Parts: sequence; C-alpha cells; structure tokens
Amino acid sequence: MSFFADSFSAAIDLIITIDPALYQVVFNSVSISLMAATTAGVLAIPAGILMALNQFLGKQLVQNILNTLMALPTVLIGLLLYGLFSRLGPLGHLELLYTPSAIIIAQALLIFPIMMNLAIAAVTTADPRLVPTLISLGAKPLALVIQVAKQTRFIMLAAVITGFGRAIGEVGAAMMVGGNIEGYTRTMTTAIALETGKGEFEVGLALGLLLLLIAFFVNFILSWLQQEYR
Amino acid sequence: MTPAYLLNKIKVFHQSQCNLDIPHLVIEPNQCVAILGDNGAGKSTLLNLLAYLSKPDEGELSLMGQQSKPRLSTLQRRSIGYVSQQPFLLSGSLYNNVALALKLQGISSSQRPKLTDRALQQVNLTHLASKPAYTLSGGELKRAAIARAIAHEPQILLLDEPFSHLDQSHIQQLELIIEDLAYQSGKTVIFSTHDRLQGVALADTTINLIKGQITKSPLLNVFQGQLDDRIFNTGKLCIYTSGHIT
Repeated sequence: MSFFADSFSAAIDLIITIDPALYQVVFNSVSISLMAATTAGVLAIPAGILMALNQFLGKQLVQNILNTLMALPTVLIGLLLYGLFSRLGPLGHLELLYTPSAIIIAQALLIFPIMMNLAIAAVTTADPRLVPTLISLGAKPLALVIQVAKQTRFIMLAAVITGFGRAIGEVGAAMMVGGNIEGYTRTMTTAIALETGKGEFEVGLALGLLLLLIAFFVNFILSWLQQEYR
Repeated sequence: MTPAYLLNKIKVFHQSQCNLDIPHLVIEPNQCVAILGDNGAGKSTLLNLLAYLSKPDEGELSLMGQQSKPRLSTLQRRSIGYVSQQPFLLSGSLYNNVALALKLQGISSSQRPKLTDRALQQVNLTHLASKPAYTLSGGELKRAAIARAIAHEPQILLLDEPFSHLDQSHIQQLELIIEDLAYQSGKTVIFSTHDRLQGVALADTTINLIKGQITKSPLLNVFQGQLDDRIFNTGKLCIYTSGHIT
C-alpha cells in the first residue's frame, strides 16, 4: 500500500512541478493523436456519409469488413506497417519507419473504421426527413454530404473524439513503427510501458493520470460544444 | 400553353402492389390544384413524384414540357418548391433555414438577404426570424417550411397535407397564404388534403384519388354545390370553422 501511495504522491509531484521530460512526452502524444484523428476524420466521415446515403452492390460486405476492422489488434497494424516501411519493404524508400508520421498513419488506420462506422450510424439514426428535405431544397451531391455532416455535427465530433481517445490510448502500433525514441516518437503509452518496465512506476503513473485528465478534458469540451451550439 | 406537369401511364409499385396508377393527367400552369383522398390513397406518393423525390416504376413524367431525366437540371429544380407533410427544419435560426435553402438553390449571396426577408414576410414570420427553428410551434413550423420553399421564387409550389395537425386559427392563416400564393403571386400551387370540402373551396381543380387511382367522385359535385350556394360573392376565399364555411 505504501509503495502505491508513495508512487502516487511522486506522480502528483511530477505533474505539479511540470517536469519537462514528462510534458514533452504528453505533447508528442497529443499532437500525434490529434493529427491521426484529424486525418482519419477528414476521410472517414465523408466516406461514412456517402456509404449511408447510397445503395450499391456489396454494401453489406463493406459493412462486415468495417465491423471486423473495428476489432483490429493494434500490433497487427504495427506489424503490417513495419513490413511496408522497413528498409526492405515496398515503401521503405519513404523512410517513414521510427518517425512520428509512421505513428500518425498507424493510428489513423486504426481509428478509420471506428470513425466511419460512427458516421454511418449518425446518418442512419438521424431524422429520416433530413435527407429528403435537403434534396427537395436543391442540395447537389457534394452539398448534401456537407449539410448532412453539419446537421449531425455533434455525433461526427463525437466520432472524431472517440477516434482520438482510441489513438492516444493505443500502444502496440506506436511501439512497433515509432520505436519509442525519446523526445521524438515516445508517446504516453509507450513511455508508460517503458518506465514501468524500468521500475519507474511513479513516472508511468503520472503519465497515466495525465492520460485520464486529457480524456476528461476532451469530453468536457464535447459536452460544452453540445450545449453551446445546439 | 405548356402544362406544368404531364403524367402519362404512370405506375408506382410498393411490394408488388400498385400504389399509384395514373393513365393520363395534365396539370395546367398557374392553377391551384387540390389532391383529395383518404389516408393511403396515394396523395403523398403523387406529390413525391411531382417533387422529383421519387421516380415512377412505369410511365413518363414531364415538367414544363421536359421529360423526366434521372436528375433535374438546376433550372428545373429551381422551378419547384416542396413542403412535406411533417416539415423538417434544420438546426439554426428560422432566418438561417430560409437563407440556406437559397444557398442550396445556387442563389448568389448578395440576393439572399432580400429574398429571405421577402419569403418570411409572405408567411408573416418576420418577427420570428432570429428564433431557433426548434422553438417554433406547429403552425409556425408549417409557415416556416413554406417560406423556405418559396424563397427562391419557384413557379410550382407543392404542399403535402399542409393543414394536418393544425388548429383552426393556423388553418385559416395557412389558407390565406395559399390563396395569396396561388391567386396573387400566380404560382402553380398543388396541395393534398383529406378534407374534400376544403380542397374544393381553395382550388381551381381537384384530383380525387382512391386507392391510387384518379376517380371522379360524385361526392365532389355535392361539395361543389354546397360551396357554390354558400360562397356567393366572397370570391375564392372561404374560411372554415369546425368544418363549416363562414
């Protein structure tokens, strides 16, 4: 009990004293996951809206694949990207392995199916009069996608935030394609794994608490936006 | 004169059952047309076809002399204003709803404020322009949807059951607006109603639908006779109170 209490106290100290090494990891992690969530959101939300609005051959198959990909293990994405980005891999010449870009790509791939599925759900559960109303008002295909996204914006925003939450919390892919390089590709989750392994439990705990704090802050922003722009 | 709509051998099926079967129908421009019928008679199906929100399974539909294509041209789309039975207002203020409709119709941003103000004025909702759409009452919502549909000044206005779920005072307000649009602004107004007396009173022409087919109802003649007797010199406009013409 004393071990845990002492570690907890030390972790709080690290947070309060604004330990530069600790906050460098937090900054890295947040910026990488924000980029991943934005990139995936820009692609997944329009794709989800288009899929929900249109009927096409094989739609059910695409839906089944998306559902399967939602449960994709992060290490598997890491493994596949490692193969692609390693020096001998087909994309080795891009020299992306062990860079923040590689982690962004991995996280974006990880959260794309989640965000697309949430976007599909947002459209299919929206008021059934929404799409016919927009069409009757003269919305052309591109305007239709934009307006549907606008009208369901809080669910879409929730999709992006859910994606961000999944991205910032994943460890497998970031470790494999990022390499956990200090000050460069070290993220909160890879740092937690490393520091705990080294016996620096209080650093891991401090990062864990900050991770929780970020999740709370993001949810707070979401509920504030929902109240403010109803 | 080119008809507003020409329907030829139109059939609409739902689960192998024929919901609408119209061998031939011409709707002249600048007319006020009432589509009459009970629930499930095919009124909304017909209006959805006329609004190009759905396609017939068989037959041809012409809009102002031009045969239906998979997608309406911008000009054709602009010629139609449509208000559904349960209008859906988008999030934002009433003003934003009308202005957005103009944007979607491709109306330039410089013209939008003037047209938005005019549309709201036509339905007597100028004072509620800045109110969030979700705070409007049932009657205000119907008028708001009409403002949104007429803002881009379409030649044809389609109204699906505009009087449903409204109290008497709102019905009267709406009747006056429809009268004004049809007989003062010179639009082709096509509306559906299950109240035959109301339809006959407001419209130049009535289309009576029974189980998806146009039928000449002997009842209509009786209604028309009642109205002829009672309207006298009041012109087209007649006001209802609990089903009675006053």
